[in-house]
Amino acid sequence: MQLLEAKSLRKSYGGVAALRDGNLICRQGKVCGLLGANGSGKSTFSKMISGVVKPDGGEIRFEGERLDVANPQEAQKRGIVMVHQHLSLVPELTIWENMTLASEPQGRMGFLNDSRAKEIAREYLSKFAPELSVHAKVKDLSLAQKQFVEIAKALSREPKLLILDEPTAPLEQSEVEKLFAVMRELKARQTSIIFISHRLWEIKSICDYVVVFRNGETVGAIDFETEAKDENLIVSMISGKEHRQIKGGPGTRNAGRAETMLEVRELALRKSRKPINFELRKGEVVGVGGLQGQGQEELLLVLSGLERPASGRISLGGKPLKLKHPKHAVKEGMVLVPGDRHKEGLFLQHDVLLNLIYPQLATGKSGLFLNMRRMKAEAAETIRQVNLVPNDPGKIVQYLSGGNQQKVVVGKWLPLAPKVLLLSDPAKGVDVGAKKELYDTVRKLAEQGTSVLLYASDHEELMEICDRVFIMFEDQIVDELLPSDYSEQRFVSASLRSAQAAGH
Amino acid sequence: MSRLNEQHRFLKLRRHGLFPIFLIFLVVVAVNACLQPGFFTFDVFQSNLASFTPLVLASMAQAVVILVGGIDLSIGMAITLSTVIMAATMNDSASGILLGIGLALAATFAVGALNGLTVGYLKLPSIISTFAVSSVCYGAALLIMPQPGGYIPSVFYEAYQTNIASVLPVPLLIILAGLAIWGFFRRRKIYRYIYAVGGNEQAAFANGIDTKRVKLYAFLISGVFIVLTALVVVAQTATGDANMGRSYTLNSIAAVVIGGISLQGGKGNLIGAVLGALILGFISNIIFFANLSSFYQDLIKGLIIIFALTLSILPTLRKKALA
Amino acid sequence: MGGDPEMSQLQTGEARGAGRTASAGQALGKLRSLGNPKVLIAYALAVLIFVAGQLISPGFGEFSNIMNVLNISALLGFIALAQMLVVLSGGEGIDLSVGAMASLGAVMSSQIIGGLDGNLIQAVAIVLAVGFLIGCVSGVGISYFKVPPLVMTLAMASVIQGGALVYTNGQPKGMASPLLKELGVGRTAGIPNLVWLWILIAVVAGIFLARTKWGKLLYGLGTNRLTTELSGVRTRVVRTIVYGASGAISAIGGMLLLSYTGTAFLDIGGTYMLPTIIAVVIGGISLAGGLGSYNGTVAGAILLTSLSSILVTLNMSEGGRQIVYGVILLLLLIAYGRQKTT
Repeated sequence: MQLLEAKSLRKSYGGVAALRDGNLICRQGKVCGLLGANGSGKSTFSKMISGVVKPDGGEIRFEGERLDVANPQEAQKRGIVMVHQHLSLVPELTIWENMTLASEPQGRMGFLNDSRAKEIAREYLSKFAPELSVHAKVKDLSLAQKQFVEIAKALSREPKLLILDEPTAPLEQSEVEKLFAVMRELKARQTSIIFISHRLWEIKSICDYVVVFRNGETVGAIDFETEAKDENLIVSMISGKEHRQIKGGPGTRNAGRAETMLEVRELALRKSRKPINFELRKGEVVGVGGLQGQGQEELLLVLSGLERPASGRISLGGKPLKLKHPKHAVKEGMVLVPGDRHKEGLFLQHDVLLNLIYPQLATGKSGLFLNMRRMKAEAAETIRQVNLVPNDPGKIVQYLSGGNQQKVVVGKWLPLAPKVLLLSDPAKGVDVGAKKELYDTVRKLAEQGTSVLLYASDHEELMEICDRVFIMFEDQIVDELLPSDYSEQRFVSASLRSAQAAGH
Repeated sequence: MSRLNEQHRFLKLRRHGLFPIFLIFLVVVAVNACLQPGFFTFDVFQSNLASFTPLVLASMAQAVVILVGGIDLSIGMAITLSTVIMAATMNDSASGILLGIGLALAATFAVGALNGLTVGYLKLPSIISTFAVSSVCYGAALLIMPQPGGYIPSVFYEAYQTNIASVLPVPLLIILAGLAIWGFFRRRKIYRYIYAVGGNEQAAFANGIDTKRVKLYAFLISGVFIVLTALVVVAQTATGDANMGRSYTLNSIAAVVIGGISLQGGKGNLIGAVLGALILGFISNIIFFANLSSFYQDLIKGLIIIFALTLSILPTLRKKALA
Repeated sequence: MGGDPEMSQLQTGEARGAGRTASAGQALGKLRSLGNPKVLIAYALAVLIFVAGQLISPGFGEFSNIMNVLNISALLGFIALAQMLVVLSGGEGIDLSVGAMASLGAVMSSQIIGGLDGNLIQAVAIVLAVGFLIGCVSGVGISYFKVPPLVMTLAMASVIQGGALVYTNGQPKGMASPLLKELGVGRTAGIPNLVWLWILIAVVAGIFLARTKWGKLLYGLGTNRLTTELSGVRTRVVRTIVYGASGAISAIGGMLLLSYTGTAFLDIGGTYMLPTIIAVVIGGISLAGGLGSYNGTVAGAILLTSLSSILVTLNMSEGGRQIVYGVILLLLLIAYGRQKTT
């Protein structure tokens, strides 16, 4: 029985299409897995079904009728509930207060029926965490527990269709099993579930069929009940069937000759994580890949000095480096281009000039009174080097395109001639042309002797520019790929399979 | 076995947010008891209570606004306006009394609505907009009563001094009434929503809560306590004075902070505000009876606020170390 | 996933929608170079008030009266400089202790100077130091212990006020010295000395903010603390110093109050606290931090003071004055102070 049918859903933001052609059929009482790389359109798609986003085109039919909701609450009334990553929890309120928030059971004359609310909370929470008291405050819970509360909250609305967006991200194996048990119960009761996850073994374990997104459209579906659970087939659908050839660049630099610039020893990003060891040579571009959220960003934040590791030693250019504050790293020449340029890399309300000259002010390379002429000249030079469009130092950064904003973020470090450049997904949300220019700049820097550690969520970027790539999983390096290994297949399976290999 | 349970329950109590404030309360009461003669006699208990009650009620009014994430600098002048209206319109007849109370109620709700609209719907920062409203209230009060005066039926004064059944002083009754009113709201959605909006406005919004309306309601509920405060004040002073309300604003904020209510919003209990106000009251007593110059009052008040703040910050600091 | 509509909108410069947004930004930028529109409007309003005042009550708009008003504005403007620095530093920066600090500064200077010019330098040094140290206490609480600025400075205000009471034993002693009084009420070339001083301070502040390393660092800190931190700045130290500076400036502001009144009374600075916040807001400084200049605060101070002044002139009862002041304040806030929805 078809519960939900989504046809030809489209959504664009500005001129860029986030989703071109989304299709899905959800059958009653079945678990449908939604797969796709970052940027494939699957998140936009699920947001449309749950009422967070309105589609630009296409149609959704739910229980045979058109679905046209203005917000998530209306979708909930129809019976569609989506579980977020604990974004809807109020920390100071208790579990039961959060679970019934905005849906409080009421008694006579509009008074709240708190005991009924607690009952409901207990009933649904006990499936996941019977040891948790519903009186605990959400702020005291662990990430996994918060996730359970969110899921239990969704279940308490008795949905007909439940959408789980990467629910297993903060969960450990035993907790995942608990979730799956509940999902099987729901299936038995004819509730449908859309399950979004990167972990292949989970998909194979719980889903009845999968739908794969790539490049903004649905590219295929596999029915596990009738077809084989072919991992390779799934991987190739996610990654695209072409095997990409490397265009030269990496591997042509003989990095083996160069001296070691950065040495990382016994670096444990968090307690109870196995330590990381690696070296970065002068002029080398090393990539960090793998599934999202496996510690790549943390690694870079730790190296930059912004976050503290649980343990470890770093030496830069032969000298041991204190990891206590970015000041130490920056002074020695290791700088970070952060992942969220708006939050961490730019002064949006200020002009290009201030953004470009800031690092020099901070590291004391200028006197008390600014030599504006010199600063403007240097800024102009940087603008030329990164090919900033428009080349106006007075332009407020907020109004630059994403790609040009990123050029400012990278460009500001150029005058300081950094020894190590840490890049955290610099090309995310950047258009193709700017991306090329950005990586050209990075390549030039490497040729001049800067070592680069690059985290990118897009494997193609890593393959195009890196001399070698570490694959990370759960805060550790689990694999190292050389140019001879480069292929989309290899990347995806290395990321996924290593997850699988971690005990599933 | 039972001793283990007792220990367990004590440990649970210790972690309760109000515990440190309660300790401060006990200390302050103890010191006061040593200094004020006849502290434990009923007469002294009653007169202490009578003088503390206005601030207690004003602090409850302030607490509601702070819980929702705002701050109300117009409380002092709103109380003043209320008292002045009552003093200006009341006479000894029942209709006169009702008229006075009715007008005061109307004015207070108008002020609350103004605050609620500017903070909730127009999104002005509450610290400045309530200050502006405070000016308006003060001005209105001055217009109604340029010189202290007016008339308050003696019924108020007498009622305030009596004890129900010889054991329950009316001031205490009024405080309990205030708590009962809050208890009424506690059983309704608005109570939960105030904490949600104050605690995490984005999450509250994500859940579909109308945050603008919640803020408006918070100011209106606060208005109820403001009217109660005004009633108590006129019962005590039997006049209307446009300049009487100044100290209530800052003192109510101090009481709220001492009482463990976070100025960020969403955290704390109205009982904390009551305790905080009582602590301030006892401190002024202590200073008086210890023959210290009243100048120490502000200093001690400030130090206690910082002390209370430190206490509330400590648990978060400890957590950070463990993480 | 490209979920940022604004950003993607501007990627293709050719897209007309993008073009419109970009050129609107450029237009605003050009207007900015003339001076922040908000600031210009504030000055315009002030001029309007003097014109209206002259019409309603002849003599109000005359030179000598304008100078009177500017004289008093200087007092507010100076203390507002402290508030501005704190607000600029971001992190919901606000200093509710500027009034109390000014009061402390006033009574301390009054006592130390004791009417003698010889004690002036000593007084300045001590008041600056005390103000800075106390301000740093607030700064430490805010930067290292993560106490919200509103709470910390509110508490410190109480402590400072109490401290002032204890210090003076309830009765402020001493008085301003002749030289100091000359600064406060005297005129040079027809313009009040305090206004000359204010102009000097404004120029220094302007240079500091726009042309020195520290000024730019402050703007960065207020705009985005994380970016600043990643650039290698010890933001916690800088923020502490900012609050210390606020304390020092407010304290000296208190000395200036003394110069105007001659003797100090307790809570002489109390009525200045909230107006400094309003002046800062009117001056176009975002309460979120990182944007604005002292120029705007100056305009705000003048506007507020002239508003109060004209209300005094009008034949209104005190009650009417208060109501008008409050209503106009609300209107100004609605125009200048709306918070962006987070």
